[in-house]
Amino acid sequence: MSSQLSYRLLLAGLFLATGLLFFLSLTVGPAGFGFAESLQGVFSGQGDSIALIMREIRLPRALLGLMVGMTLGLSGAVLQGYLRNPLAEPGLIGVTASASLGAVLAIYTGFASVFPLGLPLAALAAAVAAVIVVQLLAGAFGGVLTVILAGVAVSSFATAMTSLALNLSPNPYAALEIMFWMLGSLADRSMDHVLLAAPAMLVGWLMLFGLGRSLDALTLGRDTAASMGVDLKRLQLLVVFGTAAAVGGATSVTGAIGFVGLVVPHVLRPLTGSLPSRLLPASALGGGALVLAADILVRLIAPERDLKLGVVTAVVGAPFFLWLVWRTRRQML
Amino acid sequence: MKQQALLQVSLPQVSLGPRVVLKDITFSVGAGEIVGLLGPNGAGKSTLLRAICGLIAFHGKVTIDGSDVTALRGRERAAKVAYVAQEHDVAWPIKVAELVALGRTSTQTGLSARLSDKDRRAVQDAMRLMDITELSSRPANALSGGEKARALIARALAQEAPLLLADEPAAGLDPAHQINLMKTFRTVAADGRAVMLSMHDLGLAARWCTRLILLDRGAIVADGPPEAVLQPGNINKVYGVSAHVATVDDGLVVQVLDSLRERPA
Repeated sequence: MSSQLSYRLLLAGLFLATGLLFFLSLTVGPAGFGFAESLQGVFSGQGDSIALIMREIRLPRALLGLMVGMTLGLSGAVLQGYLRNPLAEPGLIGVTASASLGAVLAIYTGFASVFPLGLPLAALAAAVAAVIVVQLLAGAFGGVLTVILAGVAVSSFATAMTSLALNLSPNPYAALEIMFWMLGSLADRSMDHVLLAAPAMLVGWLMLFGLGRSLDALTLGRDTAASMGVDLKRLQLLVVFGTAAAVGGATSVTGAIGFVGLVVPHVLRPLTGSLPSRLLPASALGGGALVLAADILVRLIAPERDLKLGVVTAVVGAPFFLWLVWRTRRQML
Repeated sequence: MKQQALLQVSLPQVSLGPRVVLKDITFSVGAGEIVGLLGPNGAGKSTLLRAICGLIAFHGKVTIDGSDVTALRGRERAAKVAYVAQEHDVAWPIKVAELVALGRTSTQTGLSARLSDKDRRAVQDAMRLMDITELSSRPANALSGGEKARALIARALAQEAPLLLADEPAAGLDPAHQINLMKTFRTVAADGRAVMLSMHDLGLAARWCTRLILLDRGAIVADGPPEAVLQPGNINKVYGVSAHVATVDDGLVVQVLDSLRERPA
């Protein structure tokens, strides 16, 4: 079978799986509607309780799951391609930690309770601020190493400030709220959250989806890529700001959902022939499928306990990460 | 009317950070030439190739095929000059055929790696010239050092630019593939293009290059046909070695004999 054909089959399979999981996500919940009943509720346009639950609770949750997953899968694949390192993930450039800090500050200062979208707006603003700092630190012509170092510096600072906010938390409830938000979840999100995060994620996707060919060329190193016509300065700007917009938007409404951006590109890379231009769409679909599946899982295994999505992805992802490190080490020996 | 040179280089100074690496470099290269760039380690060969390709900033002017290299946009520059880096760096285990096809990046529009018939022909020709057709479906990380080097040179050949710059392309190749490489460069030059390559093998340079430029500490020491440049005096002065140079029926033979420098105690 030609590699082009097997790639198309992979994309078709991922598309089907993502679509199926999206509809499945719409039908899972404590209200206990049947499959047909649930779908009818989404599209009926009536004002009954089923339609209300579907449109106000389950549809935003499924939409966010799909979009956040696609964002994490896509930006993980882009960053691994740009940094030429299979252990890179979206949080590496400091966006996730900074968005979390923005959200924590919104909770800490009470800004989050002033109006409903105060928290995601603060998170988004912090993500934007962080990425501007990273870009300034790395410089327009900064290499891969300076981007990583700048990202680590910003992440460390954001994490330290988050710890400080927790440390100085006025009461245990605020600390608990901060902790719970940081665990990452899709529960109780409304269409307002979707409408706030979607434009940022869409802008990010537009910036990232077109980078495949440049990342293909970068497979052969920076000098060779530049000699083949890749504008490295433009590439860096699009990678950093595209990831910031998409991941900042995602994190601002869901909190940090770890390991998706690391694991999905890594698993799908061998199936795409390792070409970054093929990995990007596959990883976006794979990310969507994984987050939808994980979100269905948290509702099935502990419906009463409000199990957090970020906890599930971390519980599954961390052992995988260990295996990844082990395998990489063995390859290096 | 005198034909315009394919490459014109005038570099009063090229620095990497605070260090001046090249000074007063002026030469031009015409179509059909195979120019060997010689000199000891640190002489500035790689820096010169990178400057010509527009990969580093410099004081001066480099013109390729009538265009100032600093004024060219990425794709325009890729249409005029192809470059083979010294490092055999492939980040992902992509297939050899796909690696070589990356040479067509600058001619492609769109998001995917779809090749036109012309692209496909260029890739197949390049793979045939570098004797890697049989390796086409192997992942790049499963190649030997020499095989990988040949695949990376094929990638640059597939770019079909009028000027090909290669930084030590013969390093790591067995003698048969070294000769095959130089014959390929002759084919490229005969096609009205020009090749400039850095190298350390004086015998290979003497036998296959049409012209040599000898660099030492960032300056040109000699520039001309192999028999003019590879004089024992030049070799002694630049490399610190004694050498035997003889003219035989079909060219020049160079044999390095011994180091003239005292070894550190």
